[in-house]
Amino acid sequence: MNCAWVKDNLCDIMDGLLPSEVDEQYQSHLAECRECHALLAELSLDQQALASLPHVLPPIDLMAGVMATIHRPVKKAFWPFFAPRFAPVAAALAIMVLGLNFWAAYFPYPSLAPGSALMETQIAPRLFVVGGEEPDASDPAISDKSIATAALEDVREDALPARPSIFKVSSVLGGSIFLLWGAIVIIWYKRS
Amino acid sequence: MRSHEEDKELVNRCLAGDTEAFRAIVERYQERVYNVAFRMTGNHEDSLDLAQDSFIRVFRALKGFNADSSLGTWIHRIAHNVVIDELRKRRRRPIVAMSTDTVVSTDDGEHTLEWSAAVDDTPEEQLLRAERKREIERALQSVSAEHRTVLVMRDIEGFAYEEIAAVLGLQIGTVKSRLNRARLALREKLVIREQGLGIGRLIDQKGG
Repeated sequence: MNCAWVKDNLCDIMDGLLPSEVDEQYQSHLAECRECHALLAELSLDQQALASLPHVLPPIDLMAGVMATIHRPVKKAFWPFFAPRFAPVAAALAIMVLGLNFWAAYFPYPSLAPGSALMETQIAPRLFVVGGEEPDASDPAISDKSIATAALEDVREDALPARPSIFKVSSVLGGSIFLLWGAIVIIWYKRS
Repeated sequence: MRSHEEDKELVNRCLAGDTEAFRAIVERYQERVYNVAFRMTGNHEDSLDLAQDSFIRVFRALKGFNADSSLGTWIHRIAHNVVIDELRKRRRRPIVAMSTDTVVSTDDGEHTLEWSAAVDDTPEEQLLRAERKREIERALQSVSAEHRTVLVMRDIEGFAYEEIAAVLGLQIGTVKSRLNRARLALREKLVIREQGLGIGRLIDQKGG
Protein backbone atom coordinates (compact mmCIF):
# COMPACT_ATOMS: atom_id res chain seq x y z
CA MET A 1 0.00 0.00 0.00
CA ASN A 2 1.37 3.41 -0.98
CA CYS A 3 0.21 6.97 -1.77
CA ALA A 4 -0.25 6.22 -5.48
CA TRP A 5 -2.61 3.34 -4.63
CA VAL A 6 -4.64 5.69 -2.44
CA LYS A 7 -4.95 8.23 -5.28
CA ASP A 8 -6.03 5.48 -7.68
CA ASN A 9 -8.76 4.22 -5.35
CA LEU A 10 -10.32 7.42 -4.06
CA CYS A 11 -13.85 6.43 -5.11
CA ASP A 12 -13.90 3.16 -3.20
CA ILE A 13 -12.15 4.77 -0.22
CA MET A 14 -14.54 7.73 -0.04
CA ASP A 15 -17.58 5.51 -0.61
CA GLY A 16 -16.36 3.19 2.14
CA LEU A 17 -16.38 0.26 -0.25
CA LEU A 18 -12.93 -1.20 0.41
CA PRO A 19 -12.97 -4.90 1.24
CA SER A 20 -12.16 -5.38 4.94
CA GLU A 21 -8.64 -6.81 4.48
CA VAL A 22 -7.72 -3.98 2.05
CA ASP A 23 -9.32 -1.45 4.39
CA GLU A 24 -7.06 -2.59 7.21
CA GLN A 25 -3.98 -2.01 5.07
CA TYR A 26 -5.36 1.36 4.00
CA GLN A 27 -6.04 2.41 7.59
CA SER A 28 -2.51 1.47 8.66
CA HIS A 29 -1.09 3.46 5.69
CA LEU A 30 -3.26 6.43 6.64
CA ALA A 31 -2.03 6.28 10.23
CA GLU A 32 1.56 6.56 8.99
CA CYS A 33 1.18 8.91 6.02
CA ARG A 34 0.40 12.51 6.90
CA GLU A 35 0.06 13.52 3.27
CA CYS A 36 -2.63 10.96 2.49
CA HIS A 37 -4.35 11.75 5.76
CA ALA A 38 -4.47 15.45 4.93
CA LEU A 39 -5.47 14.78 1.29
CA LEU A 40 -8.39 12.56 2.27
CA ALA A 41 -9.58 15.11 4.84
CA GLU A 42 -9.50 17.89 2.23
CA LEU A 43 -11.16 15.76 -0.45
CA SER A 44 -13.90 14.86 1.97
CA LEU A 45 -14.55 18.54 2.69
CA ASP A 46 -14.55 19.26 -1.07
CA GLN A 47 -17.10 16.51 -1.58
CA GLN A 48 -19.31 17.93 1.16
CA ALA A 49 -19.05 21.41 -0.33
CA LEU A 50 -19.96 20.11 -3.78
CA ALA A 51 -22.93 18.19 -2.40
CA SER A 52 -24.19 21.27 -0.57
CA LEU A 53 -24.13 23.57 -3.60
CA PRO A 54 -27.66 24.89 -4.02
CA HIS A 55 -29.95 22.98 -6.31
CA VAL A 56 -31.46 25.49 -8.69
CA LEU A 57 -35.02 25.35 -9.88
CA PRO A 58 -35.43 25.44 -13.65
CA PRO A 59 -37.07 28.67 -14.86
CA ILE A 60 -40.64 28.40 -16.14
CA ASP A 61 -39.36 29.60 -19.51
CA LEU A 62 -37.80 26.18 -20.00
CA MET A 63 -41.07 24.29 -20.19
CA ALA A 64 -42.79 27.12 -22.08
CA GLY A 65 -40.00 27.26 -24.66
CA VAL A 66 -39.93 23.51 -25.19
CA MET A 67 -43.70 23.18 -25.55
CA ALA A 68 -43.93 26.18 -27.90
CA THR A 69 -41.23 24.69 -30.13
CA ILE A 70 -42.69 21.21 -30.33
CA HIS A 71 -46.13 22.59 -31.15
CA ARG A 72 -44.70 24.60 -34.02
CA PRO A 73 -45.07 22.74 -37.32
CA VAL A 74 -41.72 21.46 -38.51
CA LYS A 75 -40.71 23.04 -41.79
CA LYS A 76 -39.37 20.59 -44.29
CA ALA A 77 -35.76 21.54 -44.15
CA PHE A 78 -33.69 22.11 -47.24
CA TRP A 79 -30.59 20.91 -45.43
CA PRO A 80 -31.33 17.19 -45.14
CA PHE A 81 -30.92 16.83 -48.89
CA PHE A 82 -27.28 17.69 -48.36
CA ALA A 83 -26.97 15.52 -45.29
CA PRO A 84 -23.95 13.26 -45.09
CA ARG A 85 -26.05 10.25 -46.05
CA PHE A 86 -26.02 11.69 -49.56
CA ALA A 87 -22.24 11.78 -49.57
CA PRO A 88 -22.02 8.52 -51.61
CA VAL A 89 -24.23 10.13 -54.27
CA ALA A 90 -21.91 13.13 -54.35
CA ALA A 91 -18.92 10.83 -54.62
CA ALA A 92 -20.52 8.87 -57.51
CA LEU A 93 -21.31 12.10 -59.37
CA ALA A 94 -17.79 13.36 -58.76
CA ILE A 95 -16.34 10.15 -60.22
CA MET A 96 -18.66 10.44 -63.24
CA VAL A 97 -17.67 14.05 -63.94
CA LEU A 98 -13.99 13.30 -63.49
CA GLY A 99 -14.33 10.19 -65.67
CA LEU A 100 -16.00 12.22 -68.42
CA ASN A 101 -13.22 14.79 -68.28
CA PHE A 102 -10.49 12.18 -68.43
CA TRP A 103 -12.24 10.50 -71.33
CA ALA A 104 -12.51 13.81 -73.15
CA ALA A 105 -8.91 14.67 -72.46
CA TYR A 106 -7.26 11.36 -73.24
CA PHE A 107 -9.50 9.47 -75.66
CA PRO A 108 -7.55 9.32 -78.97
CA TYR A 109 -8.90 11.18 -81.96
CA PRO A 110 -10.52 8.94 -84.54
CA SER A 111 -8.18 7.04 -86.81
CA LEU A 112 -6.84 8.88 -89.89
CA ALA A 113 -5.55 5.72 -91.53
CA PRO A 114 -6.30 5.31 -95.27
CA GLY A 115 -9.63 3.63 -95.74
CA SER A 116 -10.94 4.60 -92.29
CA ALA A 117 -14.40 6.09 -92.07
CA LEU A 118 -13.17 9.52 -91.05
CA MET A 119 -10.63 9.66 -93.86
CA GLU A 120 -13.20 8.55 -96.43
CA THR A 121 -15.99 10.86 -95.41
CA GLN A 122 -14.34 13.93 -93.89
CA ILE A 123 -10.67 14.36 -94.61
CA ALA A 124 -10.20 13.14 -98.18
CA PRO A 125 -12.87 15.45 -99.68
CA ARG A 126 -11.35 18.40 -97.84
CA LEU A 127 -7.84 17.52 -98.93
CA PHE A 128 -9.14 17.76 -102.45
CA VAL A 129 -10.20 21.32 -101.71
CA VAL A 130 -6.92 22.15 -100.01
CA GLY A 131 -4.63 20.46 -102.53
CA GLY A 132 -6.64 21.26 -105.62
CA GLU A 133 -6.43 17.65 -106.83
CA GLU A 134 -8.84 14.76 -106.88
CA PRO A 135 -7.66 12.63 -104.01
CA ASP A 136 -7.67 8.88 -103.96
CA ALA A 137 -8.79 7.91 -100.51
CA SER A 138 -7.11 4.53 -100.78
CA ASP A 139 -3.75 6.10 -101.70
CA PRO A 140 -1.33 5.49 -98.82
CA ALA A 141 0.33 8.82 -99.58
CA ILE A 142 -2.70 10.62 -98.24
CA SER A 143 -1.90 9.33 -94.79
CA ASP A 144 1.61 10.70 -95.18
CA LYS A 145 1.97 13.51 -92.72
CA SER A 146 3.86 15.65 -95.19
CA ILE A 147 0.75 15.91 -97.33
CA ALA A 148 -1.86 15.81 -94.66
CA THR A 149 -0.36 17.94 -91.88
CA ALA A 150 -1.13 21.30 -93.46
CA ALA A 151 -4.73 20.35 -93.84
CA LEU A 152 -5.15 18.43 -90.62
CA GLU A 153 -5.35 21.42 -88.29
CA ASP A 154 -8.16 22.93 -90.35
CA VAL A 155 -9.82 19.56 -90.73
CA ARG A 156 -9.72 18.82 -87.04
CA GLU A 157 -11.30 22.15 -86.27
CA ASP A 158 -14.14 21.46 -88.66
CA ALA A 159 -14.55 17.71 -88.74
CA LEU A 160 -13.95 16.59 -85.18
CA PRO A 161 -16.43 17.20 -82.39
CA ALA A 162 -15.61 20.21 -80.24
CA ARG A 163 -14.72 18.17 -77.19
CA PRO A 164 -12.57 20.73 -75.43
CA SER A 165 -15.53 23.03 -74.81
CA ILE A 166 -17.63 20.11 -73.56
CA PHE A 167 -15.14 19.12 -70.95
CA LYS A 168 -14.43 22.72 -69.98
CA VAL A 169 -18.12 23.20 -69.29
CA SER A 170 -18.44 19.92 -67.40
CA SER A 171 -15.30 20.67 -65.38
CA VAL A 172 -16.45 24.11 -64.31
CA LEU A 173 -20.04 23.04 -63.70
CA GLY A 174 -19.16 19.78 -61.93
CA GLY A 175 -16.41 21.39 -59.87
CA SER A 176 -18.69 24.22 -58.78
CA ILE A 177 -21.51 21.89 -57.84
CA PHE A 178 -19.28 19.72 -55.68
CA LEU A 179 -17.56 22.69 -54.05
CA LEU A 180 -20.99 24.09 -53.20
CA TRP A 181 -22.14 20.70 -51.94
CA GLY A 182 -19.04 20.34 -49.76
CA ALA A 183 -19.55 23.83 -48.31
CA ILE A 184 -23.20 23.07 -47.53
CA VAL A 185 -22.33 19.78 -45.82
CA ILE A 186 -19.74 21.57 -43.65
CA ILE A 187 -22.26 24.29 -42.71
CA TRP A 188 -24.88 21.60 -42.00
CA TYR A 189 -22.47 19.85 -39.61
CA LYS A 190 -21.72 23.10 -37.80
CA ARG A 191 -25.39 23.98 -37.45
CA SER A 192 -26.54 20.57 -36.24
CA MET B 1 -41.26 7.53 -7.91
CA ARG B 2 -39.95 7.49 -11.45
CA SER B 3 -40.88 4.15 -12.81
CA HIS B 4 -39.66 2.64 -15.99
CA GLU B 5 -43.18 1.58 -16.91
CA GLU B 6 -44.53 5.11 -16.48
CA ASP B 7 -41.77 6.48 -18.69
CA LYS B 8 -42.56 3.86 -21.31
CA GLU B 9 -46.23 4.77 -21.21
CA LEU B 10 -45.43 8.48 -21.59
CA VAL B 11 -43.16 7.78 -24.55
CA ASN B 12 -45.87 5.71 -26.24
CA ARG B 13 -48.40 8.49 -25.72
CA CYS B 14 -45.96 11.01 -27.20
CA LEU B 15 -45.40 8.82 -30.22
CA ALA B 16 -49.19 8.60 -30.65
CA GLY B 17 -49.25 12.41 -30.92
CA ASP B 18 -50.07 13.38 -27.33
CA THR B 19 -47.78 16.35 -26.70
CA GLU B 20 -49.11 16.70 -23.14
CA ALA B 21 -47.33 13.43 -22.36
CA PHE B 22 -44.12 15.12 -23.40
CA ARG B 23 -44.89 17.93 -20.95
CA ALA B 24 -44.95 15.26 -18.23
CA ILE B 25 -41.57 13.93 -19.40
CA VAL B 26 -40.05 17.43 -19.30
CA GLU B 27 -41.60 17.95 -15.87
CA ARG B 28 -39.89 14.80 -14.59
CA TYR B 29 -36.41 15.42 -15.91
CA GLN B 30 -36.04 19.18 -16.32
CA GLU B 31 -34.66 19.86 -12.86
CA ARG B 32 -31.76 17.45 -13.14
CA VAL B 33 -31.02 18.32 -16.76
CA TYR B 34 -31.08 22.03 -15.94
CA ASN B 35 -28.88 21.62 -12.87
CA VAL B 36 -26.28 19.58 -14.75
CA ALA B 37 -26.24 22.22 -17.51
CA PHE B 38 -25.97 25.00 -14.92
CA ARG B 39 -23.05 23.40 -13.12
CA MET B 40 -21.34 22.62 -16.41
CA THR B 41 -21.69 26.10 -17.94
CA GLY B 42 -21.79 28.23 -14.81
CA ASN B 43 -24.57 30.54 -15.96
CA HIS B 44 -28.33 30.52 -16.21
CA GLU B 45 -28.77 31.93 -19.72
CA ASP B 46 -26.75 29.15 -21.34
CA SER B 47 -28.29 26.51 -19.09
CA LEU B 48 -31.80 27.52 -20.13
CA ASP B 49 -30.90 27.40 -23.83
CA LEU B 50 -29.08 24.10 -23.49
CA ALA B 51 -31.82 22.44 -21.44
CA GLN B 52 -34.45 23.58 -23.96
CA ASP B 53 -32.35 22.43 -26.86
CA SER B 54 -31.85 19.06 -25.16
CA PHE B 55 -35.57 18.45 -24.66
CA ILE B 56 -36.39 19.54 -28.21
CA ARG B 57 -33.83 17.03 -29.47
CA VAL B 58 -35.30 14.40 -27.19
CA PHE B 59 -38.76 15.06 -28.66
CA ARG B 60 -37.50 14.83 -32.23
CA ALA B 61 -35.50 11.68 -31.55
CA LEU B 62 -38.23 9.95 -29.57
CA LYS B 63 -39.02 7.56 -32.42
CA GLY B 64 -35.53 6.13 -32.13
CA PHE B 65 -35.72 5.57 -28.37
CA ASN B 66 -35.34 1.96 -27.34
CA ALA B 67 -38.23 1.38 -24.93
CA ASP B 68 -36.28 -1.27 -23.02
CA SER B 69 -33.58 1.17 -21.93
CA SER B 70 -33.88 3.91 -19.34
CA LEU B 71 -35.53 7.11 -20.55
CA GLY B 72 -33.66 9.16 -17.94
CA THR B 73 -30.27 7.85 -19.04
CA TRP B 74 -31.16 8.49 -22.68
CA ILE B 75 -32.29 12.06 -21.94
CA HIS B 76 -29.14 12.75 -19.94
CA ARG B 77 -26.99 11.34 -22.73
CA ILE B 78 -28.61 13.74 -25.23
CA ALA B 79 -28.32 16.65 -22.78
CA HIS B 80 -24.68 15.77 -22.10
CA ASN B 81 -23.90 15.84 -25.83
CA VAL B 82 -25.65 19.18 -26.21
CA VAL B 83 -23.70 20.68 -23.28
CA ILE B 84 -20.34 19.29 -24.43
CA ASP B 85 -20.92 20.61 -27.97
CA GLU B 86 -21.64 24.05 -26.55
CA LEU B 87 -18.57 23.97 -24.31
CA ARG B 88 -16.41 23.03 -27.30
CA LYS B 89 -17.88 25.90 -29.32
CA ARG B 90 -17.23 28.48 -26.65
CA ARG B 91 -13.78 27.22 -25.70
CA ARG B 92 -12.37 30.42 -27.14
CA ARG B 93 -14.85 32.60 -25.31
CA PRO B 94 -13.98 33.69 -21.76
CA ILE B 95 -15.84 31.97 -18.97
CA VAL B 96 -18.55 34.16 -17.47
CA ALA B 97 -18.12 34.65 -13.74
CA MET B 98 -20.89 32.99 -11.80
CA SER B 99 -23.00 34.94 -9.39
CA THR B 100 -23.20 33.38 -5.97
CA ASP B 101 -26.77 34.37 -5.34
CA THR B 102 -29.00 32.58 -7.70
CA VAL B 103 -32.22 34.19 -8.80
CA VAL B 104 -34.62 31.74 -10.32
CA SER B 105 -38.11 32.11 -11.71
CA THR B 106 -40.57 29.48 -10.70
CA ASP B 107 -44.32 29.19 -10.83
CA ASP B 108 -44.42 31.00 -7.49
CA GLY B 109 -42.40 33.96 -8.73
CA GLU B 110 -38.72 34.75 -8.36
CA HIS B 111 -36.60 33.40 -5.57
CA THR B 112 -33.08 34.12 -4.49
CA LEU B 113 -31.32 30.97 -3.46
CA GLU B 114 -28.92 31.46 -0.61
CA TRP B 115 -26.18 29.24 0.68
CA SER B 116 -27.66 26.67 2.96
CA ALA B 117 -26.35 27.07 6.47
CA ALA B 118 -27.00 25.03 9.54
CA VAL B 119 -29.14 26.91 12.02
CA ASP B 120 -26.68 26.40 14.87
CA ASP B 121 -23.66 27.67 12.87
CA THR B 122 -21.96 30.73 14.26
CA PRO B 123 -21.74 33.68 11.83
CA GLU B 124 -18.01 32.90 11.39
CA GLU B 125 -18.74 29.29 10.54
CA GLN B 126 -21.42 30.35 8.09
CA LEU B 127 -18.99 32.77 6.48
CA LEU B 128 -16.30 30.08 6.16
CA ARG B 129 -18.76 27.61 4.74
CA ALA B 130 -20.01 30.14 2.22
CA GLU B 131 -16.43 31.04 1.30
CA ARG B 132 -15.57 27.37 0.71
CA LYS B 133 -18.60 26.90 -1.53
CA ARG B 134 -17.74 30.00 -3.52
CA GLU B 135 -14.20 28.80 -4.00
CA ILE B 136 -15.26 25.32 -4.99
CA GLU B 137 -17.79 26.71 -7.44
CA ARG B 138 -15.08 28.77 -9.12
CA ALA B 139 -12.57 25.92 -9.06
CA LEU B 140 -15.19 23.66 -10.64
CA GLN B 141 -15.41 26.00 -13.62
CA SER B 142 -11.65 25.88 -14.06
CA VAL B 143 -11.21 22.09 -14.35
CA SER B 144 -11.58 20.40 -17.74
CA ALA B 145 -15.09 19.67 -19.05
CA GLU B 146 -14.34 15.94 -18.82
CA HIS B 147 -13.49 16.23 -15.12
CA ARG B 148 -16.32 18.67 -14.44
CA THR B 149 -18.83 16.24 -15.99
CA VAL B 150 -18.08 13.42 -13.56
CA LEU B 151 -17.82 15.77 -10.56
CA VAL B 152 -21.19 17.34 -11.38
CA MET B 153 -22.88 14.02 -12.03
CA ARG B 154 -21.49 12.17 -9.04
CA ASP B 155 -20.70 14.68 -6.30
CA ILE B 156 -23.33 17.34 -7.00
CA GLU B 157 -26.21 15.49 -8.65
CA GLY B 158 -25.59 12.13 -7.00
CA PHE B 159 -25.82 9.90 -10.09
CA ALA B 160 -24.94 6.25 -9.53
CA TYR B 161 -21.72 5.04 -11.16
CA GLU B 162 -23.78 2.78 -13.42
CA GLU B 163 -25.88 5.72 -14.59
CA ILE B 164 -22.81 7.89 -15.30
CA ALA B 165 -21.24 4.99 -17.20
CA ALA B 166 -24.42 4.59 -19.29
CA VAL B 167 -24.72 8.32 -20.01
CA LEU B 168 -21.07 8.71 -20.99
CA GLY B 169 -20.79 5.32 -22.71
CA LEU B 170 -17.91 4.22 -20.45
CA GLN B 171 -17.08 1.27 -18.24
CA ILE B 172 -17.73 1.76 -14.51
CA GLY B 173 -14.00 1.35 -13.82
CA THR B 174 -13.23 4.16 -16.26
CA VAL B 175 -15.82 6.39 -14.59
CA LYS B 176 -14.22 5.78 -11.19
CA SER B 177 -10.69 6.45 -12.37
CA ARG B 178 -11.85 9.60 -14.16
CA LEU B 179 -13.57 10.72 -10.97
CA ASN B 180 -10.39 10.04 -8.98
CA ARG B 181 -8.40 12.26 -11.33
CA ALA B 182 -11.17 14.88 -11.34
CA ARG B 183 -11.20 15.13 -7.54
CA LEU B 184 -7.43 15.52 -7.47
CA ALA B 185 -7.56 18.13 -10.26
CA LEU B 186 -10.22 20.09 -8.37
CA ARG B 187 -8.12 19.92 -5.18
CA GLU B 188 -5.11 21.18 -7.11
CA LYS B 189 -7.10 24.15 -8.43
CA LEU B 190 -8.33 24.93 -4.92
CA VAL B 191 -4.78 24.81 -3.53
CA ILE B 192 -3.62 27.18 -6.28
CA ARG B 193 -6.52 29.53 -5.51
CA GLU B 194 -5.82 29.38 -1.77
CA GLN B 195 -2.15 30.15 -2.37
CA GLY B 196 -3.11 32.98 -4.70
CA LEU B 197 -5.47 34.40 -2.10
CA GLY B 198 -2.77 34.04 0.58
CA ILE B 199 -0.29 35.99 -1.51
CA GLY B 200 -3.00 38.55 -2.25
CA ARG B 201 -3.64 38.99 1.48
CA LEU B 202 0.06 39.34 2.20
CA ILE B 203 0.34 42.05 -0.44
CA ASP B 204 -2.73 43.78 1.04
CA GLN B 205 -1.21 43.66 4.54
CA LYS B 206 2.11 45.03 3.33
CA GLY B 207 0.37 47.67 1.29
CA GLY B 208 -1.90 48.56 4.22
